[in-house]
Amino acid sequence: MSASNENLKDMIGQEYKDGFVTDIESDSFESGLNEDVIRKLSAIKEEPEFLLEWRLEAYRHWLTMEHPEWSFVEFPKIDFQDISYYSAPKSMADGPKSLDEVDPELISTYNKLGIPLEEQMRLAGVAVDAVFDSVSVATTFKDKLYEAGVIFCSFSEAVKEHPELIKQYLGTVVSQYDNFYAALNAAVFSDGSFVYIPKGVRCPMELSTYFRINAANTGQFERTLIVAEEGSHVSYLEGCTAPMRDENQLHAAVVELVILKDAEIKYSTVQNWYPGDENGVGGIYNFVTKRAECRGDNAKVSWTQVETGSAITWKYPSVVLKGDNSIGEFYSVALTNNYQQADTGTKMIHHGKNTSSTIISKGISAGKGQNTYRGLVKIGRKAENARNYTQCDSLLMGDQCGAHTFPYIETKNPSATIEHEASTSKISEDQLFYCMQRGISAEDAVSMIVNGFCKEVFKELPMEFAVEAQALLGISLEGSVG
Amino acid sequence: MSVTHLPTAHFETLIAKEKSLCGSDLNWLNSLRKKAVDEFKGTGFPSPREEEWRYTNITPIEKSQFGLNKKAGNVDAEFLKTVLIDDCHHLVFVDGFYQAELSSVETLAEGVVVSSVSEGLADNEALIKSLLDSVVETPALGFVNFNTALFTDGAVISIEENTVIEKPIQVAFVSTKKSALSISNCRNLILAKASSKATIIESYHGIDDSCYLSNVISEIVVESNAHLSHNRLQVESLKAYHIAGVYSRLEKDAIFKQYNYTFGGILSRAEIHAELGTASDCSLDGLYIAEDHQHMDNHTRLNHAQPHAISNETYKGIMNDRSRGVFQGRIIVAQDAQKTDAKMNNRNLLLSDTAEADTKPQLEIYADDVKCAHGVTVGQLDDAAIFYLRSRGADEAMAKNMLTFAFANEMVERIDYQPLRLKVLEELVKRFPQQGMKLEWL
Repeated sequence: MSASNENLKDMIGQEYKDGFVTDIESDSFESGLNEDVIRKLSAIKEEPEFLLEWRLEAYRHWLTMEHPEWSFVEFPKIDFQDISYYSAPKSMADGPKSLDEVDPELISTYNKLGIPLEEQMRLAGVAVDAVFDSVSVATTFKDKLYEAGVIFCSFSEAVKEHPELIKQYLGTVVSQYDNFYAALNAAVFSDGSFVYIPKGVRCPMELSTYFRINAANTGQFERTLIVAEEGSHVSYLEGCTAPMRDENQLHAAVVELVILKDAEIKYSTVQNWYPGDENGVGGIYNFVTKRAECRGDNAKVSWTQVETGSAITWKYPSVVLKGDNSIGEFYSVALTNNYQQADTGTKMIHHGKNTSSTIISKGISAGKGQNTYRGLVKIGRKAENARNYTQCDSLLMGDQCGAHTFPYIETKNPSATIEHEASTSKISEDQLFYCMQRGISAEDAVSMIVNGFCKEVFKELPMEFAVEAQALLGISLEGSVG
Repeated sequence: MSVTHLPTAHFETLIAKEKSLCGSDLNWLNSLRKKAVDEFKGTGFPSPREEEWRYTNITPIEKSQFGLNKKAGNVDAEFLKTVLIDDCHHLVFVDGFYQAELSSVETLAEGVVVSSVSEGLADNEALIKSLLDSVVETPALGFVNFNTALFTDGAVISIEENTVIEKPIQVAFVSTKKSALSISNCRNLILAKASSKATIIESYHGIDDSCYLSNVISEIVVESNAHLSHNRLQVESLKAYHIAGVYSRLEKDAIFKQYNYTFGGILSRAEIHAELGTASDCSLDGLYIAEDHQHMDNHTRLNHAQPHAISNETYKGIMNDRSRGVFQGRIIVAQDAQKTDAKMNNRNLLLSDTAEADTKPQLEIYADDVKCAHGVTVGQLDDAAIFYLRSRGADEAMAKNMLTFAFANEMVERIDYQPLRLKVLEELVKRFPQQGMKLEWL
């Protein structure tokens, strides 16, 4: 055991791979937040009047709100005046027309992260929107997508080119008053991705957004809006990294998904923000509001998330099942190591008849990590024959960490069937012994067992991401024998 | 955390006016009550904005302008007969006051104390002083402070070391019909000394449709290797408010079995908390059946503070009409509590379109070598089972009734003591009147 504990220390000591800083000139706002900052931001973005008004409404409402304190995470009070609400690479000021004009420094940053921005890398077959600090720097495969009728662009571009769509859908799933961080995001969001899949179209390739925080002292507030029209289908991936810094940085994003009749969205996240060092210094606060609304019958949405980074992860990707027979799924692996904290889970809100939802959540705690699953399953009065299955399992590695489960189940319809199961365990010595007596090293055995533990979630990820997710988990956990 | 508390001005006045409580000549008790009053002024009663109270709104209690009971009302012999369980020692409290003439405690082994707090203060002051306020958590909830400030009486029970009390001790609380809305505050103190064994039954009864608030706190200490069975049967009137707290501390190798049967009250809430010592064994079982507009809330907390302890918890609820059932179970496993084995289960049956079930089973785990699991289901009766019974000739209503009854009866079967089991069954059968379900069949 002691030998493997040594291994654990070695492995946990592994440095965050994506922690480099790109030396690039950037335009940033001074720290601070007031109406002028919002007006200035809106002006830089050349936004239409309605959007500015919308932002200001959100800001005024935000001022009246209190910071929520109910979660199971602890962090010092955030000074919202000490954050810069906009940072963009200087070379982006004039807006490059094509990838050739994008600052090579930026492209090399993404190459270093393994994100192919050059279109010749067609083999990857994934369209990418890269968001650097507050702005989108490049979107690949736009033309090919355009042929299929799919709109995939940065949010700012969508505001300019498709204002009618933005006006129709923005804030209809997560309103600008929704919660503290959603209101803040609505007031100051700087960019993000916009996806529109027209009626009956099956998006020809995977879409992906890659978020990178680079500048110091900035918060990243992006907003993603995906609209799937009747009978359409799209699979969307999201990845994130940030440099290693001693200060905590705030990332408060909002993701809205609108799914109409017979449509399907598959939304996958591999979140690898900088988690802070082994003493819990630095790291990203990842406070995100994600919600999907199944508006038509037979709509389907599936959230898959692998959360390995961030000092604090605090988010609940949710599904509102309005249409009859609609389906919501949530698959999650959340890992906390060192001093990381996670309070994550989902909300499944059933309104339509014969709606069903599945929740599979796997939490892994190591070091001094605190991992909380918090989930709501709500069955409305009219949700006849609603069905929910929830399974949340926790794996503890080490005696300093914690794993917590806080499900909320509210049922107002007698025809609903709800099942909830949770278990907490550690890697048993028997399991390890079995693997080792077959000639597998302790380290490989643990990695095998952990991967087995997460398999149900990984199999939901698109192939490229599944490989990345397994590697990420490997870095953080190999050899951690409890 | 900034939480809006209910205005409690009315209750503060009540406390300020009260002068004639038991033990008012004892300084230690007066200072304890004063501390509780001060804390109550700070916290007041909980509001639904507090996480632990999000499904239960006690505003009706605050609005009802209750007064305090000053003396016991009349209970006729016929009613008393339905209250008392055969073959038990009986302590009877009416409207929060001990009634010696209605009670019967037969000769007990030496060193065993079974009495009321008001009388016990004369002979067993030291015992009461050592138990009072020793098990409830700090900072105490509003209702606990309210109780400490105003309790009029309660049972004090102490079982001597190496002693087995064969007959269960029934502590019955009866609320009579009063012209004004009234509150009774009782405090029970129970100590099972090392290697002792006893069964205690707390039962709550209301006469007709009287409207009152019964606020009862029980503090229980189970010393090492002792075995205590604690049963609660709540059949308050259908207009009553019942707020209860059962706080227990288990020492090394102790066994504590808690059974909680909730049938009455328009709004009831029970806090069942247990702190587990090394290798102790705790089980919490409950059944709640709600009809009409009843609101039933059971909150349990198992605090695994020491290693090797075992806990088992099963709560079942049946909700009909416009009723609402709430369950919150929390298992906390401290960092030192290795080898803990904790299981929690909550099963809910919704019988009408307008009933509601809210459940929150929680695990909070800080140790790595533990086995913890919880399971929850909310649903209706199994179609296949109904079909099976119908294929055997039972009509649909009959089939449904049989299955519902069986669902509930599983929790009643767990009671060891036959007369108590019959008593609970009697209450259960009353909930199935239309099918002519008869006690004799069971």
